[in-house]
Amino acid sequence: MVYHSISRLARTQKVFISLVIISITLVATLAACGGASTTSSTSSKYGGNIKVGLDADVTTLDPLKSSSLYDRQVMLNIYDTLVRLDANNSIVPDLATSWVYNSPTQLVFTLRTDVKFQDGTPFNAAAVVFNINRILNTPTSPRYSEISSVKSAVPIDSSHVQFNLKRPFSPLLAALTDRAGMMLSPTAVQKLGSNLTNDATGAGSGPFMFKDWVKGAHLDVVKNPHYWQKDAQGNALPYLQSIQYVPITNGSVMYSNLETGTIQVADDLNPTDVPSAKANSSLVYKQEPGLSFFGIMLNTKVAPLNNVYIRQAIEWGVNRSEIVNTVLKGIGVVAQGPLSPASWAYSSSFAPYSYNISKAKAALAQGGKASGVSFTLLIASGSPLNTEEAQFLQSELQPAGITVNIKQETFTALLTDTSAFNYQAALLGWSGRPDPDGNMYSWFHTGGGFNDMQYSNPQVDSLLEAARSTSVQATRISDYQQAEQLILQDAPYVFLNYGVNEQATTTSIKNFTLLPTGMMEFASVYLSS
Amino acid sequence: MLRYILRRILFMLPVALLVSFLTFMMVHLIPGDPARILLGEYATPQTVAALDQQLGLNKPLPVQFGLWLWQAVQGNLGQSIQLGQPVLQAIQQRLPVTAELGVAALLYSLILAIPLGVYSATHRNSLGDWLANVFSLFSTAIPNFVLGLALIFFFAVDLRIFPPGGYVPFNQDALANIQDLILPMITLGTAVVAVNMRQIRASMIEALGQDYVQTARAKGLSERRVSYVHALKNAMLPVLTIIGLQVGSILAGAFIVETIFLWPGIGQLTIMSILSKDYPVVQGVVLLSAFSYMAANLLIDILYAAFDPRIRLDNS
Repeated sequence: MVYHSISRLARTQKVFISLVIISITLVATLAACGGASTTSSTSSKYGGNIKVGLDADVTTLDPLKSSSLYDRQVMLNIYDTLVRLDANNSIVPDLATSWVYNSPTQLVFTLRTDVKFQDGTPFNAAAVVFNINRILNTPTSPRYSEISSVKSAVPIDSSHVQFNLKRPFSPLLAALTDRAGMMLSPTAVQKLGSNLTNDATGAGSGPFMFKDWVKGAHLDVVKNPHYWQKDAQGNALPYLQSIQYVPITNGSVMYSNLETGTIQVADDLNPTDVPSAKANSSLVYKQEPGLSFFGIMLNTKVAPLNNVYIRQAIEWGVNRSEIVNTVLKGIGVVAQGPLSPASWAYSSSFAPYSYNISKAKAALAQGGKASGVSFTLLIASGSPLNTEEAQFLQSELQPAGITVNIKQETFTALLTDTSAFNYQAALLGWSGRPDPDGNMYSWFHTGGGFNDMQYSNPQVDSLLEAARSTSVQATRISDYQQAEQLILQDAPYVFLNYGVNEQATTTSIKNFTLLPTGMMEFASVYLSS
Repeated sequence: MLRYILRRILFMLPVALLVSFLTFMMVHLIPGDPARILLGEYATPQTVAALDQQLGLNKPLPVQFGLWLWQAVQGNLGQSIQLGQPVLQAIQQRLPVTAELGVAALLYSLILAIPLGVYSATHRNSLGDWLANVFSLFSTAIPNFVLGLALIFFFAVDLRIFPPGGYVPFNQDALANIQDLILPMITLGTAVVAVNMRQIRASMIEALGQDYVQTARAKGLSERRVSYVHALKNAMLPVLTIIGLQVGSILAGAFIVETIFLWPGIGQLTIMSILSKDYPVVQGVVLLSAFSYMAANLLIDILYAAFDPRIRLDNS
């Protein structure tokens, strides 16, 4: 009887388990069948809602306070700038239709007269003055140093504004293509107050308007129906109905979302995912040299790196092409100086160092360290790429007699140590700026804001100052290239690679332009079905 | 019973104070300055110092903790450095998301664990029992972030059955919400299934060997009734204890799962806050988590008494 009961019990349990499995399968199937598409598009260019994956969340929507690359990505689609950069890194009109230097210290802009901010406030010279004064009255803003050459901005009339400079400063125009040149509605700024950090309702004049932001989750913008810019055929822009920016910090998760079409645009991809993206017929992957550089900062005031021959030995001992090919999986360009191929001051013939262990040893000997030398290299933790690169450098430099001790720190701790000069060497790069001044002055001028190498060369200082003071591009190119030669001779920084700007999108994204700054502008982008 | 409950509630306060203090010290031990993180990597030292002063971060640590504590007892958990909004508001916005995921994961674990545990107990040393044990070992051993990514790659990327991530509120689109829930629920709940299953199995084996079970069988009751009505009820008591402890592990697991599946819950908020050294948010989340954990265990203890009349929680 007991045996019979156990059999019945067993049957009952089997039925129960089967029912559970069937229920789960049913729910799953129902859920799968109901799959809602996150995108839509019409047969014309108009319409379409896209999702853009960013490596990190936006921190602020106020250009006055912004220091993050991701802020720029969003803000450049909400706010217009006085001037902008085209795909060739040339400065072209935006809210300003033209500009002229009346004198080396007087720059006059002619403004568009057909633009209104998203809250209806007209864009005019008074609005420009308001925005510039907002920066000049906030010395703690990161924008302040970017336009510190500006003494004042005054309206001439409603469509002309004059910038009075303290001294001739040709990089100013390039600064005005970015956050310093972003024009916000004075009405909205005053109304929103400190809440502008989180809410840009009505503040911009750009192709998209701020709608909603759930921090850490998504930031939504919608089409500005009154956007002033038209396409080549005179039709209204933008084409897209909305954009949702989604912060996705994990590279694998980013790629899986792109592969499945959950997002249509990815900020960038892990190097390990790039071959898969290239082979995937439903994705578009392109890359071009960017303006950024990456390498090793060397503290020129701390032994043993206070010896120029030791620094030159490191330059000779590094195999840059191997780093780009092996560590970066080809996602990068070999670097020889601060000016990348995307810069108009770049010289393709400039290659002072190549991988040469004999020359590295000779430089060590010249520096009185023929028996070898060692130093500690700080790297930011949390990045497998940084660790791999540091280990690669360690193994490459060993045969030359240079011992590298790797020390990991959080990124903020690394910045704290480098800015306090409490380090020997650090693996750190720069996101790059369109004007060569942005890649050189602060880094290599004596006392420059980013000159944590404590580097000082009066000749370099003179060249960098001269390059700022003239607007003749040929002269500036000559000055920057001469300065570059001297910097590489002194070797306070070992340039390893330039970054690349990537387009990683689904094939449904059309008219996407890869910009040298790496910014993603969606005014002319449309979604095809 | 009431005296016991009041005593337990009072006991929560010193525990919460100790937890807050330890969290405060640990977060401040992490190198880095939240003001610098907020201002960006190229902020000038003067700008950073100005923001430090504005946020009160330049005050001595005991003073910072004291100020935070004084505000916390008044119900104000402070202002998030990164988000620029009250910590309580930030947590309230995200709590329903984490609660949905946590409850779903727990229910999923019980729905699987109970029948598997009962089957395993009544079919000891069978192939089914062996398979159930293998499953429990696998699900306990595999880290949840590995399982999550594997599920994404298989079900979302390869089979395209479920989305790889994202969250739509239930009231906005119920079907999309369920779609978004399946993979994170399985990821978070799988390790818990194993623990519950093994506990139920062990408890059932013990219960099935008791005299009252033999008596029930002798009275002619069906095996189903004997197992699920008599034995399981007593076997569930230790499981209740485990569930209480699992509130903490589910909350901890949610941190990673929400980050992988892009769920805007407490977990994702906390990860973001730790990385940006947003002290007020970290402390607020830890404090509320501690209270939730203690409240859940108090509830479990009360349910114990409800399940077993022999249990008296006070000394009467």
